[in-house]
Amino acid sequence: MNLLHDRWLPFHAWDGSITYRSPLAIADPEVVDLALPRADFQGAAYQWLIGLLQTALPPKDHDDWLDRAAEPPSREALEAAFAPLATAFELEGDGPRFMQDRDPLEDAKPTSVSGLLIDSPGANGLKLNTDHFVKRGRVEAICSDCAAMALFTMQINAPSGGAGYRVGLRGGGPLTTLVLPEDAQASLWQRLWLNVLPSQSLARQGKIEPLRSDDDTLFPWMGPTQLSDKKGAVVVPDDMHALHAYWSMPRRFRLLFEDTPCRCDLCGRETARSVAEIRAKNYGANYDGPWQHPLTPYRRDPKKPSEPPLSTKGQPGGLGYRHWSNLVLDDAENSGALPAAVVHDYLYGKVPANRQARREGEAFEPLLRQARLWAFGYDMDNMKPRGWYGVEMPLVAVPPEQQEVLRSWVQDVTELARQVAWMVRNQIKVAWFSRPADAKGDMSPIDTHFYEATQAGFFHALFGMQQALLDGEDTHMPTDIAEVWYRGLQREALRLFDAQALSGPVAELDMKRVTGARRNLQAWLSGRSKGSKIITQFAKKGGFALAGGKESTTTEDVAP
Amino acid sequence: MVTEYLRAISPEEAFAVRCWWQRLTLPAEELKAVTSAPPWPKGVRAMLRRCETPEAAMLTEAFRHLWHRLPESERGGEKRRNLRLQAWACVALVLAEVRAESPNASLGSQLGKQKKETGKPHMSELRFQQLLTCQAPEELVQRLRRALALIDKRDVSVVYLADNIALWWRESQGEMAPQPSGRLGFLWANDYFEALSRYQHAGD
Repeated sequence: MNLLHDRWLPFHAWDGSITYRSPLAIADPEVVDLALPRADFQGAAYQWLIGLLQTALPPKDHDDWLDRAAEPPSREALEAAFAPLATAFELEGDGPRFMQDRDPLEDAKPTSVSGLLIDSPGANGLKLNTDHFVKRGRVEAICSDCAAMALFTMQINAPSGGAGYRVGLRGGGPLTTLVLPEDAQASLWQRLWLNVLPSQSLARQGKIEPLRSDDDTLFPWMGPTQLSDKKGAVVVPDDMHALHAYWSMPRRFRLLFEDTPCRCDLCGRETARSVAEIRAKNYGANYDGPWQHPLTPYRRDPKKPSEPPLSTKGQPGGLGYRHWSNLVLDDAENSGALPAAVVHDYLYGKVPANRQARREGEAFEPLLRQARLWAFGYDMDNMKPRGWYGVEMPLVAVPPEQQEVLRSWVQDVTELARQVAWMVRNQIKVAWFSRPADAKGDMSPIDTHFYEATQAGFFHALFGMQQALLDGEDTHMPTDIAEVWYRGLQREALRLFDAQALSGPVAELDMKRVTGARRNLQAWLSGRSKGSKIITQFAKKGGFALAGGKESTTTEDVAP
Repeated sequence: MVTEYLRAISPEEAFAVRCWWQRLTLPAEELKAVTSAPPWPKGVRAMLRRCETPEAAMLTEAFRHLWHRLPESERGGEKRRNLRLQAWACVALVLAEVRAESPNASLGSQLGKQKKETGKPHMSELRFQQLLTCQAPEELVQRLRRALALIDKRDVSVVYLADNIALWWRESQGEMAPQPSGRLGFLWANDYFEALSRYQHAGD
């Protein structure tokens, strides 16, 4: 099976149908999306196709990129671009196999194919019988199509898994951020092409060499594995091809194909050829050094500029607008946030290039001023997955010289939300427990709740800020945006407190404690208590007055 | 004049019940200042105060005066009318105790205020808790009458009292305000403990 020629990827067509086709289908304007059977596969398939386009068909510069965004290549052009790579994309056979070890690993004992799935219990979990939530035995045999995607998904997300089982190039369970068009009817080509970088925008690391399908610094499976059983045997960016990050292979696997018909446990299709077992071995490539994957956001410690940047991972509590700033806006000085190269290039390269071309009278579609940011990834606790997160958020573009202002505004509103969430959580604890400081337990659902309730308001504010910047405002956050944001936070804070602390029967509540906590919260929110400096400062910066003076306690929250 | 924020009765009902209480209670000279209507004879209020139950109250002349002055309820059948009768009978029973009112003063805040220089509220926390959790209308009336006795039967708003009692009836029928902060238990407790917190401090 060859991954460039065979019909192994499920595509969503414009009319809603799902068909399995070869990667050439991306040139078909009828195709709007991928349709993989699992969320992690869907994210991986996007990255596979983006990597493929980046490798086979990289635009030279932004002009070149714009041309192809307006006019997708023909099927023939794609075919011609993929052809030189074909030998690197064989999944079976005696030659090099895609993302598999060059060595047949005959000395390794075959194990279940479920080992390719991150959410399967490991050998130790089975022995200790700890597969309470992540159950064994769900996946026993799968089709070759799913096996290929499972293999790729594992190689790009691999957590470190015991002695010599190496972690992926961007760490275990890295976050991926992609740029998507706002238009839900956009073709798959548009979705993918937004994430392909002109060669000049790729991080300057690694060797830039002419493309060869047998180049094992690009496709490591084309040569012998760089073993890491000795100390110091690491794979660093300078020794590898500039595009290697897209094709990293930290783990050593061999798929064992059999002519045994089965119903695939992942996609549910009947198949004649299946994979039930794999061989796996430790001490594969050990990635080290300043790797920066173009699709993943990083963070650099501004105090230690010599340390390599760390990739952003999924975290308990999920992804929300409080992460928006670090995923989108560069902040090397303070927080050290380094958004993914693909996001950076969209904001600083593609949008300005498009604007420039349109000013010069070329008939390009305006690049959507509002694209979406798709962030996804596993939340891992070492090798155990705690969950999978996938969110889409608006991505607003402002001219580069205004990014700094936007960043400071966004940080102000996010910080206010963070403080209010903290106060709500504390006062709910005060209402719940007689000794809140000693109370144990996970209170994070309260924060999650709060951020979810205020999310729409945040993006509303964000669009308002974008508009204000485009209208020429460039120092102060517009008063109405600041005030609406503050009032929204205040309202949701009280609503959340009431729902959590006050909704039970009065006979079962300690009303003295509850009403006391609520009054504390109210006083803090309206800037009347000692600790609420953040509120008064925000109001001062935003130029609005906090609810003035006297409020009767019985009537203050009656406004509809 | 009604300036109170109402939750369970209409402004017309609030106006009617205040006029009724004034004619029932105020001395002639004070009454003249607010209305030209004459006071009812002293016995009318006395009869009502002697009643133990809402049912007994319904039979009094005082209650008839109140009931006829309330605006006609537009909807609802026999059952609704019956509930309304009972609720207003409770209102009549409680209001008959009030000697002098202060518009806008809520029951909770008066009960929570410091009793002279004792460092204690007019109504103890334990008794207040019982008031918050009473289940039967007779119990409510009894506890409210006692509560009024503790604050010398003055300085509360009769409109708030009537509204509170109507809200209690509404909640006893399972009609809770969607916002927990709009429910009677919270309203009373918030006022009470806020008043309490003005002279008692955390740690006791």
